[in-house]
Amino acid sequence: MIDRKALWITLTLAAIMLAAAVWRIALLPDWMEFPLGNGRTLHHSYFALFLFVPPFWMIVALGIVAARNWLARGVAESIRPWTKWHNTLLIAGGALMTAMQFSIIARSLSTDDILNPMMMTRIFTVATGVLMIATGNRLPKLPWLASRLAILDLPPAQGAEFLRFQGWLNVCVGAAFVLAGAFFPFRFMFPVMFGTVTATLIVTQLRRAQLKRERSKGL
Amino acid sequence: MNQVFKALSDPTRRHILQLLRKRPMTAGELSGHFAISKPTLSAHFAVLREADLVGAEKSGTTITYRLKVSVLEEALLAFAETVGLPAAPRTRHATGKTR
Repeated sequence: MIDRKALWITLTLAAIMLAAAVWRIALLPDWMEFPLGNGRTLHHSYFALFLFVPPFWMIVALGIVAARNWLARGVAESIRPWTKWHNTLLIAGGALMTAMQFSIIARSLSTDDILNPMMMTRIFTVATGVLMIATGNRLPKLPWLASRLAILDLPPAQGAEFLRFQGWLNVCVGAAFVLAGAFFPFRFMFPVMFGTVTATLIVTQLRRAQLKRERSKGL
Repeated sequence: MNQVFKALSDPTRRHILQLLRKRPMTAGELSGHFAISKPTLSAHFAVLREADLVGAEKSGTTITYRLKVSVLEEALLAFAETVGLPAAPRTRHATGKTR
């Protein structure tokens, strides 16, 4: 459910991020001391390893798409809109992560405070929120694909309802990200983000179970 | 987006979307809710399909329509309902007519 062009772009972005992480860490005299720019350094930390997180997530995202591709059962006509949706998500998400990683590297190399870390974090949080809103908005338009795994499967009507629910949830979480990034005090941003994402994961599974129960009761 | 606004501007089309919100319906089932001719209703379906607000699946001679609205489009539809824009004032059920 991803076309070849998008796959190559995603893999290239992951490779660039990985190479940049290795290059930056190789330049450090001590990888436990990561420079934050403007003469400041994070001492005795594993912060340098954070540079491997964005490429790792890109590979995980590709793995999830590959798993969904294997699990889905549908005709080519139903799979095509999903391919387009995954392409947008992976390329935009990959570009965002690459930009985030480059901003960390650029800051660690700079001697002045051009890239304010708080401002950069806020910008990336808002951009992530916008991406979640854009992709969540399209979710209810996608056709429901039956799954090979009975635990994930739903009948078409309930599946469409599940996608509609997921779409609304993604848009709400995206809006929370945008609000948190733009307006919330810095110390509340991460609790809000992690809280909403965790709640979303739980609520999504509860809704799936509820729709399954409704179906088995013949509602 | 213009096509979406055009589609949502008509009360009959908004009523079709409200009906499809409950469940997918065949063209015959949907026509039972309106006191308008089938060609006119088909024209409404065409506008909705062009705006990508409904999906149609043909099985033999039956066409089943299902809702295909994005979150934003659904919010627009809900907004139209909230501000009191009427949805299809003349229905067969409302006028007491039967098929």
